[in-house]
Amino acid sequence: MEKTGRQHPIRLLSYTTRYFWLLIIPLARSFYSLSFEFDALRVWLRGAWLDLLVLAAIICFAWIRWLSVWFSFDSEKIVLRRGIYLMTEDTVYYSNITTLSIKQSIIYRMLGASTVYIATNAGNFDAADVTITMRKSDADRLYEAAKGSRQRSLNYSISPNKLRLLLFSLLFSSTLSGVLIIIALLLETGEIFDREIEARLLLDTLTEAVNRFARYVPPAISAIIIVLAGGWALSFGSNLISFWGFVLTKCTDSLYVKSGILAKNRHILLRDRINFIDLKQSFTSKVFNVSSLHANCSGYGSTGRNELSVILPITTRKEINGALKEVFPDYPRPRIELKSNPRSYPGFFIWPLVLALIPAAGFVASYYLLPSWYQVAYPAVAITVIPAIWLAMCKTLSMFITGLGFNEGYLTLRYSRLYTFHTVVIPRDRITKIRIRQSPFQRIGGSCSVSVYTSSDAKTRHYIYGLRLDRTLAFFERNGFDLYYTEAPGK
Amino acid sequence: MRKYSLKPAAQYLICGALLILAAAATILARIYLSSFEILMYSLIGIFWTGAVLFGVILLPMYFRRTVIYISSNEITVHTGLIMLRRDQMKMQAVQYVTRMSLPLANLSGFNFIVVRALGGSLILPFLNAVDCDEIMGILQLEISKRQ
Repeated sequence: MEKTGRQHPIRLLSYTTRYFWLLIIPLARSFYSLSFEFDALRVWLRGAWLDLLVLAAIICFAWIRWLSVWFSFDSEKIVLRRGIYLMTEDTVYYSNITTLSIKQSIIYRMLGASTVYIATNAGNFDAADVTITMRKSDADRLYEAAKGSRQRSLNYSISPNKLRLLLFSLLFSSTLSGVLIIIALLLETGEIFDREIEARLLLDTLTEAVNRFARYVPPAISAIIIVLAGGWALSFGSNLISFWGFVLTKCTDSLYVKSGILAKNRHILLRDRINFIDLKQSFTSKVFNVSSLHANCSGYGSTGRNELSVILPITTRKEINGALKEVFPDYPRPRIELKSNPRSYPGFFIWPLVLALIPAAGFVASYYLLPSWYQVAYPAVAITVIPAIWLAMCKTLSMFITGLGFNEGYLTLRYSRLYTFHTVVIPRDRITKIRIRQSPFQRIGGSCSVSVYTSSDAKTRHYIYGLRLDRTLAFFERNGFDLYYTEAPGK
Repeated sequence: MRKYSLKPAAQYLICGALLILAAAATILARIYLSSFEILMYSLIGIFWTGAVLFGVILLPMYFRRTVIYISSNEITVHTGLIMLRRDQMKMQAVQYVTRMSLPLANLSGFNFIVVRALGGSLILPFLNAVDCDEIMGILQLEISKRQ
C-alpha cells in the first residue's frame, strides 16, 4: 500500500534563513515590552513594519519550499519529489539503500517528528542522498517497509551491559572528543545565530566560571581546568545519552542498530556494503583492554557533526570478540605479520616534540618580552605541555603495536592517529589504493610509511608509519600488490 | 604490463617558464628595489637559486623518477621529489577517468589523467598525447568489461 505525504511542519523552521532569528528575537522583545494601549501598538507598527514585511516574506518563502517537497513510499521504494520551477524526482529502491537512519532529537520527539536519512553507494559524498523530515508515524511505516524488504531470519542480537557502559564511559571518556563536541555545537549555533553573540555567550560563561574558581586557583589554570573538565563531562554525557539502550541485531543481510536515551536513533545497514571495521581504543582503554567497534558504511555515522559509526559501544575485549564472531563471521581475527622497524622509532616522537616545543618557545618568548607575565606563563606552559606528554606516551605504545597483516583475504592494519589506536580489518576488494612513501631520513634507515585508501563516502586514509621497506614490498607482493620497481623507464 | 614515462617537452617548457619568471622578477627587482641594494641582490639571488634548483635539479629528477605501469589488474605510479612514492590502484576499484589537456598539449605534454575510485584518486601527469589516448583506451575498456 502506497503512503504519500508532505514533510512535518517543523521543517518550515529549517527553510527560514538565520536572518529570521535575528529579526524575530528583537521584534518579539519590543512587542512584549509594549503597554496595553492602541497608540503604543500603532507606534510599534510604524517602526517595525519593514521588519514585519521581511519576516512575512521569509515565512512565505519557507512555506512555498515546504509545499514543494513531498514523498511517497510503498513496499519496494521511496520517491521524493522536490522543486518549485524545476521539478526533481528521486526514486530509491530499498534494495539499494546502504544505510537508512531515522533520528529523533528531544524536540522532535515532543513534536512527533523524525528525520530520515537515506544513503546509497552512489550520490553525495560524506552525506545522505536523501534527507527528509517526516511525521513519526510515517517514519515508522517507512522503517517497517524497508525492514520488510530485507531477509528476516534473526541471527544474533546484543545489548551492552548498562552498568559496564556507565563505568567505561566514566573511565574512558575522552576530553578531546568533548572539546570537539563543543566546537561542533558552536558551529551549529553559529549557523543560526550571529557569530558575535555566540562568542560573547561563550566568553561570558567562561569568565563567570573562572571568576568563581579564582579564589582557589590562578585564573589561567582554572580556565584550562574548566575547559578540560567540561570537555570530559560533555564527552561522558554524550556517550551515555547516545549509547544508552543500544541494541544491535544481525539478520542475514542487514544490521539493525537502535540507541539513545533522550534522542532516539534507528539504523538499518546492508551488511555486504560495509567497507571495513575498526576497533578503536584510547590509551587508557588500550591498557585496560576495552574497545569500541565501528563500521564504515556509506551514510552511517556521517549524518551529524559529532556522530560515530558505532556497531558496539565501549566494552570488554571478550564481548567485542564474541560480537565480531557473530556479526562479521567472514572477518578473520586481526593478526599482524609486519611490525614497525626499530630504526624508525625516533620518528614516532616528531609530533609530540613539535607539540611540546610550541608552548616552550612561547614561554621563552614571554620570559624575555613580557617578564611580568612569568607567573601566569609558567603554570600555563606546564599544563599545555600535558597533551604533548600524553601524545608521547601514545606514540611509545604505538611503536610496539603498529603493523600490517593479511589473513584470509582481509588486510589488518594496526596504527595510532593522534590519541586513538585503530585496529582496522579491510576486505581485499575494498582497498582502493596503496601508497608506500619514503622521506629522505627513512631512505637512510631503509624504512617507509604505508597509506591504505579504502572504499568510503569520503577519502579515507589509514597511515602506518615506520615499516621496513624491503619487508613491506615483499609483504604486498605476496598478497597481490606488486609495488617493486626500477627507476629506469627503459627497462 | 605497459610502462609509460613522462614527456620531456613538459619539463623543458616548465624549466623555460621558470627561467623567464626569474628573469622578469630580476628586472622588476632592479627597477623597484634599486635604492635597497642589499634586499635587491638577496631577492635576485633567491629567485635564481630557486629557479636553478627547481628547473635543473628537482624537475629533471621528478621527470626521471616518475614511471607509470598499467596492467589489466592495476595502475601503479612511482614518483616523488623529496618524498618518494609508490602508488597502486586496483583496476576493479576504478569508477571513472577524467582526461585534462591544455591547449597544444600534443606538443607540450600537458596531458593529465585523473583515475577516480571510491575513496581515492590517482593522477597520471605530463603524458605524451599518444600514451594518454592509449591509457584512456585501456582504462575505459577495463571499466566497460565490468558493466
